[in-house]
Amino acid sequence: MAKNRSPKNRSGKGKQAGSSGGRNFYLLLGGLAVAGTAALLMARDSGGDISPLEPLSLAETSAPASASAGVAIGPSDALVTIIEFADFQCPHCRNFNAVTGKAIRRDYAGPTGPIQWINYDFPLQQTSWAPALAAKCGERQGKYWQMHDLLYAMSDDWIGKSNPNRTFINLAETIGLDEDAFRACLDDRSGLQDVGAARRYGESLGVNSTPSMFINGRPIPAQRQYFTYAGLEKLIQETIAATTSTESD
Amino acid sequence: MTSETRYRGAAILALAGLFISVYLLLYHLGYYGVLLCGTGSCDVVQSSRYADFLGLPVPGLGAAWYLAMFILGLMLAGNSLETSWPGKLAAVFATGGLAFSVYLTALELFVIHAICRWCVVSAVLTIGIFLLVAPWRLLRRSPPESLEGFSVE
Repeated sequence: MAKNRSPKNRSGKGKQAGSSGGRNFYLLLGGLAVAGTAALLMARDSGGDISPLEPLSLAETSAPASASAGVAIGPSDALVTIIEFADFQCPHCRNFNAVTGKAIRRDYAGPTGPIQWINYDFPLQQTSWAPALAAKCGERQGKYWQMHDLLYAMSDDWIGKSNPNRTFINLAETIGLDEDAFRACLDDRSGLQDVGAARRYGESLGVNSTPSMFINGRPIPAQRQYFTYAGLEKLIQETIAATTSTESD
Repeated sequence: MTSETRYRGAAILALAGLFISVYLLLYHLGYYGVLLCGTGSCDVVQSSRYADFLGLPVPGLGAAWYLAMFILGLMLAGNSLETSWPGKLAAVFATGGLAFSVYLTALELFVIHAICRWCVVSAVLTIGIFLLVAPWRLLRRSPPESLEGFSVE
């Protein structure tokens, strides 16, 4: 320690070496700063950007309420029509879709099945509009339901993200959507008008929570029994029986 | 190696790391559509659920850490402050940064099962900064106060 403080080390020669080293150090820092900034600017030019969708509110869409803003699966002349209003960020909607909705659609809403299921987006939170738009962009390539199910299944990967569009693009790739068209759809944002129309349609029916469901126009009570596979299946069969007997009368 | 040289080295590595973090942060926020990654799986890692930590984007935390280490490196390179608060802060940050880097690398290897080349570079820079700041030197220089004046008879 004492050696370091010796007059010899404080000589002019030492100072010269130190200032030269200091100059080199700051030159190196300056060079690195210039190179780093240039690299960031060049990277900006080398790839298209993915803008995050800012949180929205219903007031930012102008489309009026429309029953045609939903996405249907199953025959249009089915005996039973189930409509669902759901929010992709709603945990009850996710659970319902995973346990009941998906299986009921598979078993009853096939091309010749007895039910038609129509899904309407009902974004309750400002950040729920982004996944609703992603699902709409899936619909434009004929894969709404695959995107719908994947958005729910992978919601832990995008909820709370500052830019969920990045994850949506990855999900779109996994179900074989055209990435460029999907990106263009996210940027275009015109699908949000459909989402707004669906939400306004739900409000016109008195919907204020999700998931909310109707069967042949009658609201399904928000009771646990109707949200299980067995419970909803029973309700469907009762409705089919009632419809059939009414038609035969 | 003198402490001046060590802290200058740490500042240079921190500046390099700052640019990498800013790059990844801009990608995370959507300002870059494509991440230049070579053969790695940067996209998988950066879009995984682990790309945010306590609601904050990990590259943003990295940028803040590198910026802090850069400033501390500059402060310490020009002055004999190693045993004062900037030196102690640099030692704590360097240790914390290394621990967080080990955590992120473990996530990549064992949970996400994908490696991001930029994250590997960042981990190497973090190790370099830790070695240059050398927090253990502070432990050697300042023995616990409770031992001062203690003598064995």
